[in-house]
Amino acid sequence: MPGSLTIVGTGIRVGVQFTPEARAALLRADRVLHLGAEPLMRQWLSTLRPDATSLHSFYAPGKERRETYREMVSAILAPVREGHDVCAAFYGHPGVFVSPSHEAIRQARAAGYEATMLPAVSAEDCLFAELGIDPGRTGCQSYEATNFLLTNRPVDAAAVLILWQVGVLGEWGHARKTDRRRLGLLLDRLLEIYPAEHEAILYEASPYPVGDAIAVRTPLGGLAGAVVTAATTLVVPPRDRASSDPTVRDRLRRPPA
Amino acid sequence: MATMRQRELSDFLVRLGDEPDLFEEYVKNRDGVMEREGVTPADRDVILSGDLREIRGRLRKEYSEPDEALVVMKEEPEPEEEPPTVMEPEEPPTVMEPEEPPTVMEPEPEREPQAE
Repeated sequence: MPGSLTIVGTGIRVGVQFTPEARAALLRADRVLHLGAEPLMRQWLSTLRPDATSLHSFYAPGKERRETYREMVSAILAPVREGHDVCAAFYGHPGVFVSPSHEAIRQARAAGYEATMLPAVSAEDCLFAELGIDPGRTGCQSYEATNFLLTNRPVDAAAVLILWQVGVLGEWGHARKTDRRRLGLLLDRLLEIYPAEHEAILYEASPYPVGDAIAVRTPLGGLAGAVVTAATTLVVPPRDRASSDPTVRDRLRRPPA
Repeated sequence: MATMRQRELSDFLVRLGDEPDLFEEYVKNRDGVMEREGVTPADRDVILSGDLREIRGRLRKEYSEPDEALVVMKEEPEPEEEPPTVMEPEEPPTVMEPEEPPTVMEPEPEREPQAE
């Protein structure tokens, strides 16, 4: 069946984290759509493909986000159904914190079209590198902050806790400002688990080819007064050390039968 | 002209992202490359400072689009009678299970929990 869909990610830093396979997919497609986070990202994508269509225009103040995403998916799939090879580019990793990409892939495959998602550099990848955190060392819990609060997730205090989008807690619109009261709700939850003096890190990767990441270390108790934006991620290092089960350890050490 | 000067910063950053040779040269000689490419002294200072907020602040002056840091990818949760579809795994995670004993990631030595 003619028509295909390739979903790619731009990486976080404009241009310099764009993989060769993603670039090839973007350049060879007959139709390109993109959703860049910052104007500079959109300018760069338009330089690569001047004929590309931005999905950013689907956002509107007061518009339900779910409706916005439905429209994005429709815009991506329309040229596929016309028989075109389509590439849709999303900021960061296209499969991480991006629901329209997954939905477009699902619908395209259900309709019988070839649909592929290519991996890319995510914000979490940048965080691990720039904060020197190895998720394999202690284990890692990674939640969207609103989802973390809403679903009252249990926390393993011996593993790193990463909370995304803490600056737009409880915001399902097109948020640009942080609601301090909601941040307080998150702080209350965290203080049930960690002492107020436990150090946390407020992190934001640079979206530009230049510039340093923001990494502000603060006691959790000081979080309410910290500078937090829509792009801020909260990292809470482990409080405890995990101890191993001696029975399991002995069983693992037994020679193979 | 102010408008011309301001566009030059974003144009320079787009070129850095799009031209690997230029980026490689920039990493080796930031001052020299920026001077040659016509980046103004004020913009050069901001870039060399590495201050993300300052860089963003200067770039925002160049665009007419609304002032925003990122596109937030989040949906309001489904009503409770429906199964959740956002940010929750549809099935038990299987990807993170090691297929063979880890050889690189040695666990940390056991010790008592940190005193609080």
